[in-house]
Amino acid sequence: MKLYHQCGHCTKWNLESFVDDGYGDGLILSPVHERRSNLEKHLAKVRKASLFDPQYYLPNSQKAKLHSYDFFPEVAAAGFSTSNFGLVARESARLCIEFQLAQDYEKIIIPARHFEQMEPKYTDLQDAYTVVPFLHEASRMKLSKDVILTLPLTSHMVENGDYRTSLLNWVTSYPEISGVYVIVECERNTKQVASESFLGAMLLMLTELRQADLDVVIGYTNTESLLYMVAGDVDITCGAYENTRMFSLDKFLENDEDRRGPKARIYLPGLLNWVQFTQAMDIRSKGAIWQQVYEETVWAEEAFAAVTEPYFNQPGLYKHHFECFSNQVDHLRQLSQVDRYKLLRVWIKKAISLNAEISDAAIDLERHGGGDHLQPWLDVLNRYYTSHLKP
Amino acid sequence: MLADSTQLRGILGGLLPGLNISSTPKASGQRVVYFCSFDPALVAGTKPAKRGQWGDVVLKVSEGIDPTQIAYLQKEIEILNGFKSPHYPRLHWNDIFSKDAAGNPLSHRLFVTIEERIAAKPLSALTASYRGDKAACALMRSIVEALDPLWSHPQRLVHRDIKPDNVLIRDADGAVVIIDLGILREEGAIGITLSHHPYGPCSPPYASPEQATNDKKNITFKSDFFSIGVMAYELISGDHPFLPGAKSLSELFDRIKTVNPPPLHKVCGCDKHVSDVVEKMMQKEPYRRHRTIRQLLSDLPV
Repeated sequence: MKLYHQCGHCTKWNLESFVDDGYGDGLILSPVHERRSNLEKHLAKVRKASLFDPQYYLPNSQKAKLHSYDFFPEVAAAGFSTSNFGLVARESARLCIEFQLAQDYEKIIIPARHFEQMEPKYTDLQDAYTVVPFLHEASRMKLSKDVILTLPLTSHMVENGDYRTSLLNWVTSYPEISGVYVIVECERNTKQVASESFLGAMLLMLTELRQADLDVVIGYTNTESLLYMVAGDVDITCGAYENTRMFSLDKFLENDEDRRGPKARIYLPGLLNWVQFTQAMDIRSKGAIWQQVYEETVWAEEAFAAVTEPYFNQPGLYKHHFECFSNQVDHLRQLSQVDRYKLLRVWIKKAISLNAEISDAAIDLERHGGGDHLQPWLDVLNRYYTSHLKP
Repeated sequence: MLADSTQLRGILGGLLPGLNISSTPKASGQRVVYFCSFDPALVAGTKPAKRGQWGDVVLKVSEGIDPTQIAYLQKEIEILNGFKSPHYPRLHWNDIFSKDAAGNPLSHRLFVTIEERIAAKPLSALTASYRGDKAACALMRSIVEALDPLWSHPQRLVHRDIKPDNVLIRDADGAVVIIDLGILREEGAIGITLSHHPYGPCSPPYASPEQATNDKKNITFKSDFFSIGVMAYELISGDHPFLPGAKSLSELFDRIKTVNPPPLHKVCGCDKHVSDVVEKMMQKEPYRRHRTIRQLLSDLPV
């Protein structure tokens, strides 16, 4: 199992963390954030360890950087429409595969369109736009690299048993692919995923995918991806900005210039959460608790030593996250599924107790920095253990 | 329904001079099947000209099928002739007739195919030879290998009618020959059967749940995996997994869709791994069956 950096704005930070600091196993590159000419300049060893996500999620996106790729549907069809793309789908597929091969990425990704609703013709549309054209071209080119299929979903699709079954039947009907690149848009008003029904359904889906002997890469994940590791050897991601840790089509629409700077947050591994930097300073003043929630890194120490509070668009706290999260993943990945469950259970229970101690110390963490997600995580894991892992 | 008759034989004999029918393995139904040959002395000047050299052949005749179906069948014949595989009978010729030899219109179009006749026996007549799990697994492996070119074809073909009658064991070398590709389907194709039919084309006792519900989207090579699993279960245990207790077609389909037959190792004490492989082949949801041909082959004991 691997930990990929989910790239977004400032891929440079992910590159530095991967190449210079040695955190993560590769990158998932993002054309909406990086022009083709830039992407082609990455070191060969980086490209070989990385995946290129062609991002056909919003095929008529007007984002300029996406338009630097001749295979992107809006460009390939000279203005994407559902009626005209079929005419150029094979050509788009050929160019996209040739690009991924020329760059020598680790695997070839077949892109897919994202539907924000429970589209009844989901599989037919994916087949028509990308899957069948890509597989035709892949077969013609006799690829030696593994081919993985993008599976962009919503939490509703994952939670609906019949819909999930139809998706599983669909992806497992292609013996030519070796895996899936799963992306889930999970509607919520919290930064951490706390829905037990969603997380439970995700674990079931991941289990079924692994049992079908499909490799699984789960993109755009936040801390909840640690839970997914209990379902087996799945590849997960870590990202800097929030929009690399939760999927939304907004990034294919929004004007980058207008983004409002959120308050800086720091990842505290003992709490399994990101906490506002100012509140982390408060916890830091309570020495004993701090020792248990914090993992020292050069990056975090620099931020605490700085005269001014760090700003959200500075790299230090993200690099701190990459290091801490990578260490947590390293702890888990060497274990069996049962032992991953047991260790995570210890971590979550400890985090719940630390949150209580923080509260007792008269620090009320704001809603996103608190521990509301932890009990649902524990419940989901315990249920999964009972149904799937318990001897 | 078409049936063997003096009249039908007369029409065919007129259209194909030199026809010598030796027996009728299928006398009625969607089509009539004859074992026959052609007298080389009587074929001159009529098509197909080479039929005098074909030796023993199988002649299949269907009636009343519409042009779309005929075009579809012709496409399948073209695909099959492209295989050049020893596991499929060679298809010599096909044509459609709307008039008899005298030029009189026929009441229904006749679609005629002529294929190589292989000296072989159907598996249904040889089940006792494959009763043990080792022999059954070796046979399943041969069937999977024989079907591989069909499933791996760029048009992702599915047989849809794998059953003991359609698996021949060649007399000369015991090799598997797959016959009766009349309901071959291309995965993802719209198909020629009506979507509102309660079940799709199949032989019900060997149909997969997705065929039993005419769930066309899910009819893939894994539907054939299911049918092979049913044959394996029947060979190894001596009992069909779904037929006992089914008093009607709808009950049979209900059982296929809902009943999990008892594991083979409990029924007949066969090897647990073999039992698990067959159980996996017969999973109700296709995604729970083997995902690739290679996986199935590697799972079947050598």
